Amino acid sequence: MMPTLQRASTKRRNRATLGTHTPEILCVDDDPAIHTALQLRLRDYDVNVSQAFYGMQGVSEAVRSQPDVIVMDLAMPNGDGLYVIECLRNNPATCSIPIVVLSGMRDPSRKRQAFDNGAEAFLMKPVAFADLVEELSHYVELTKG
Amino acid sequence: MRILLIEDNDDHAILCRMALSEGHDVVTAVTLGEGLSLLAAVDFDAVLSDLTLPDGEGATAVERVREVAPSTPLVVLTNHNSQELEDSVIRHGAQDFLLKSQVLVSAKTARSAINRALHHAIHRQQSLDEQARLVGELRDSQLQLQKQNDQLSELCKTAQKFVDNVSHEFRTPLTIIREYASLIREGVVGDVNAQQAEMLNVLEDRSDDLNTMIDDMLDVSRLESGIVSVRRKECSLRDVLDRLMPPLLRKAEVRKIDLDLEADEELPLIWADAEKLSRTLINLVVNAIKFCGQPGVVRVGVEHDPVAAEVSITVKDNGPGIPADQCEMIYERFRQPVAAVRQSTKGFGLGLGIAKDLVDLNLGKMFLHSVVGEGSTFGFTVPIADPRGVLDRYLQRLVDAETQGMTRLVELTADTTDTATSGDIEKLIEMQLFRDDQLFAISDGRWAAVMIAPSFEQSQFEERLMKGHARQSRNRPRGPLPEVSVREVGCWQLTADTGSPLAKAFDALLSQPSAKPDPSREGLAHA
Repeated sequence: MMPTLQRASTKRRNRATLGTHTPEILCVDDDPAIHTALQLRLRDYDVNVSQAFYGMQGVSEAVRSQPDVIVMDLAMPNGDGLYVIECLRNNPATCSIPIVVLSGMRDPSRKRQAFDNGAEAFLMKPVAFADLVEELSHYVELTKG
Repeated sequence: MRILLIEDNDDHAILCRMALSEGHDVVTAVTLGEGLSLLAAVDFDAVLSDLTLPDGEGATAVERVREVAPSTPLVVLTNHNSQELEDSVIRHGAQDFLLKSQVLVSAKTARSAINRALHHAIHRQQSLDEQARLVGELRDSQLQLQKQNDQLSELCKTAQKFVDNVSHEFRTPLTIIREYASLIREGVVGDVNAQQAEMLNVLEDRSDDLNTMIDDMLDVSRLESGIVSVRRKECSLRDVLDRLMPPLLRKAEVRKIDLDLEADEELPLIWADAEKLSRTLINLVVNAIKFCGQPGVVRVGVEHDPVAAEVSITVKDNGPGIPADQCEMIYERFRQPVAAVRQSTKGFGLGLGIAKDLVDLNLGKMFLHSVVGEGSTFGFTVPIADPRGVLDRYLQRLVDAETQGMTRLVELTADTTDTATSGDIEKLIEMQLFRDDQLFAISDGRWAAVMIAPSFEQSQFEERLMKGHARQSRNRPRGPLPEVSVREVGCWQLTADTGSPLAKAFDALLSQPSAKPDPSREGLAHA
């Protein structure tokens, strides 16, 4: 995978040209094993996955790397997920990046808050990989590389 | 007994003292003031008082005695034969009322009447005191109960939150265990031999079991506290089955159980909360896998009944069967049949009870046919996606559950024919609905909502919707949402008959062509 900084500079902002650029997914989760699993699952696809391990790192990484979609947990140190979603939505640099929440919390009020704050989708852990890929394919073009 | 006699008439006082001469210590006062001072200073067992005193008369005199000695038995003497006066003094706290003209006629009459009256007065006062004490105790225990109840609700909330947090803490490692097992088994990180693959399969399967147990634990507490929200809508049973069967088939394979789905390729669209339906079916299949025979056979069947406008889903096992007398109890929490569990997967015995509650939330019925020695068939129904039929079932369920309140039919319209935008708006509307409300999508950009509430303020609903609308519009990557108009079609008190007027209005809505939002009403986006 290319280092984040390098990718950020070549990032295309125009979603209409999706077909010609490698989709980028930012994964924000405090558990490194989640990153590993996601990367292994997506390694057959032509896609870049970048990482952030706590809430506010997710925000700065999103600003920097301008991913096509963000997959994030809710319960995280240094930046609760709901707050992170709000930050991403209030920042002009990240306000239009789709956010897919991947959480073990089933509390309906959290789900509602996540949507209210601007999340696009809410998936439950443990997630079936096929479901996650299907959800991601709404936002990025996933082709086998 | 020590008795206080308040009497300004000397003759009457003498007669009274004579009447009380035996066994009583009588202290006489000639004015109310003097009597009250004595009462304040000395404990008396009873008071016998005239009602026409120079410094106090009638009910006022009684009231003043009561102020100083609230629980000393009090008998009053009067010249006035008046029912009104009698009622008034009794109401103000005297225990008995004696007419001088009847009592003070001779020493003998006076003795028997006054003694009897005092005796009764003391008894009445004692019962009154006892009553007051009991009422006090009752009030205390009521307060205590209230306090305990508050504490319990608080504890319940904490427990709920705790269960939520614990389940989250469980799920994250579980996700990793499951996902890594699956990645290794699929050979993503290197070759695995057949035995390793088999063992990894079991690992995945058992982590699924753990996840189901966590779901059960969460569901049972939510269902019991009635906070489960349900979003029934049109969905494809085929999609639900296609999603559910692969992990269930794997589970069966791991346990060497022959699991099969018998369903037509073409299945009708159903009306359900797909997640609740999935949980129901998972619980029934997991139950059948647990209790089937050796070798185990489990059949999932789907049958469309066009007349009843519903689909029956059945799960049949070849287990020991359940004796008729146990069939009713089988849904109770933590109950498992006496028959031996097939394998080491016991669980909590919550699954069937939860399944039954979830079927009810999905407007269906649960059923069980079981023959001892042959096996059991657990099944449930779910309505097909016919809005009118669903409305009837929904209202019937509210009536059966003795839900109190008003039902409102509300039409919501948005100026869009785009399915994706409609989907976003629907999500937004759903979020503003309460637990028992039901939303029907009529067409793209048009909905009917049946809401149930003790009182419904359209403005409050619109306000919530408007806030959500503003937030979503601001944050929506696809651009702001079109305006949403809300129109109340009608409102009916929920009774067994609500169905007919509401259904009529609902039918009218369904048959109306898509109406443009009323231009006289300001759209929400501008409100």
